[in-house]
Amino acid sequence: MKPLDIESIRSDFPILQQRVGDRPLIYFDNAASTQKPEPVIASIDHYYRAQHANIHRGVHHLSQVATEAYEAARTTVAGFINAASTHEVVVTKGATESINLVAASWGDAHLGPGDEVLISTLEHHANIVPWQMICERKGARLRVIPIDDAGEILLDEYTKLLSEKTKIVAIAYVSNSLGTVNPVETMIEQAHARGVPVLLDAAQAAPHLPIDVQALDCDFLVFSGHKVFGPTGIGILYGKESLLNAMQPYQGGGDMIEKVTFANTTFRRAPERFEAGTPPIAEAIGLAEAIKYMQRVGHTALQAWEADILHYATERIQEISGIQIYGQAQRKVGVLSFTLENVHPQDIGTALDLDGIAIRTGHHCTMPLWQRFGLDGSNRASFAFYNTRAEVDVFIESLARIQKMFA
Amino acid sequence: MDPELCKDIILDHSQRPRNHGTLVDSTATVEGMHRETGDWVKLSIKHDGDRLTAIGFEVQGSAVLMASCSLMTVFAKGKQTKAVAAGIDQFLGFLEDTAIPAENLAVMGDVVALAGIRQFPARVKCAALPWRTLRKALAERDY
Repeated sequence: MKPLDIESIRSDFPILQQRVGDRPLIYFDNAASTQKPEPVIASIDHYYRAQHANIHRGVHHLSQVATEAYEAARTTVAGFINAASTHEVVVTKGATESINLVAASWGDAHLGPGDEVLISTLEHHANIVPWQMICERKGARLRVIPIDDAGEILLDEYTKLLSEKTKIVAIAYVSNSLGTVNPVETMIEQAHARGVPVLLDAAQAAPHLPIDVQALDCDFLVFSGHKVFGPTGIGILYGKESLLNAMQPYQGGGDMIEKVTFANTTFRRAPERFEAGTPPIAEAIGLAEAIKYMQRVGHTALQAWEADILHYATERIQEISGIQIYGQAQRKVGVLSFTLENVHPQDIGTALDLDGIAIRTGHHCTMPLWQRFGLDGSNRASFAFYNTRAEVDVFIESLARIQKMFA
Repeated sequence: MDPELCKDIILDHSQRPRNHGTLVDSTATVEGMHRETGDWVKLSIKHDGDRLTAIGFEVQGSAVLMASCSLMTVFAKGKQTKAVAAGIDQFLGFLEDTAIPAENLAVMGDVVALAGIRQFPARVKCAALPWRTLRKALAERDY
């Protein structure tokens, strides 16, 4: 196994070199968004300096260059998730839009009164609200798979909830608030046994785990560019080709049509059918560079490094009295969610910020999850492969001082 | 004002809040909240003519919210409502306008300890919530 060269990696991320006040930045808010390595920034810079034109349209040189770069990016994304074909990779503006697309388009065609959509307690609002909206419109019902105190999905309850009423299962691959890696393989198998398709929200999985849509056999999978060290404003919807081509377009406009007359319009096949208007071209190129960067680091090295950081942080934080960790699943990545007795998360967030440490406080867009634990939210330190044990040490010292200050 | 002293005042008021609790003989109660953060405050006030003779509160939220509430009640208690309203305007105006020097808050006593909150835009609304709520209580009463 190729070891991870942390010094070299950290030097690739310009933002990590900066200071907050007089302290070096310690960035532990990676579940909200990750930082960008130099090759990603350079690729976007190069695109605007040397490659930019609109794609799929002009016969001129630059349009060809831009089109080739954009489509090459799609190929890189397809390889990243092991899609069988680039026709299965739709570019959107984020994981949120990807889920909205499926809920609106697939949901409109397949949901009716009495039908059920199955999600879980630990979903991000982006995998709750779009389903609530379509269920409301179609008279369908949203059902919720419960979790246990460790933050793991109760598989028995899932099995019981699956019924002939279930039309789709939409679940997080990894919980953004707890770090739980859900047993998606088993869940997909059980859903498919009943002919029910499954959407995986892989927004938090993509930065940490290798993803293989063919091995998983999921029907849809979504993730965001900015959470895998790529640009904001781009996301991916993977869908099985037959499903995508059977779906109606989500938005109308240029590039997604075959022929338009004032009487009638015919649409192209996937993925173009879902890419109305000029897509995020620079962002797609940047995303492809981010993926190549992760591939150069290597998933095995990346996972081993991150597992060590999470394990170390989990051990050390328990030295502080009054700490309660939320999310103690057997399989867990990237996230350490906790509360500190008698200290409000907002005060912890502000006090850590004074020491240059960025964490997220509050509900992390999973309000129903925190209601399950009887809380308004938590403190969340979330890690990436560029974080170090030395940073964890500074974080723990700072937290210990905060605990003493408020004790 | 010395930042360490400000921190001590804020910690003191968050851990030993003054005027904490609901008045049993209040003449008005009003609630304020931020749905997004879960911050919640309930003020109970007692008037005697145009004087605010007593004020109590309950909160759910951060130390900043608790301290701001406590400091506000100390400032407001016993004052004419006009003076309280002017103080609210002054404090909220200070939070919104970074050009106003912190010394301007010195006339409001220990409230000046909250001046540093202005450096933390995400926390300004915690500090502002009790004051906005008291403003609402005063506006709802016809003087």
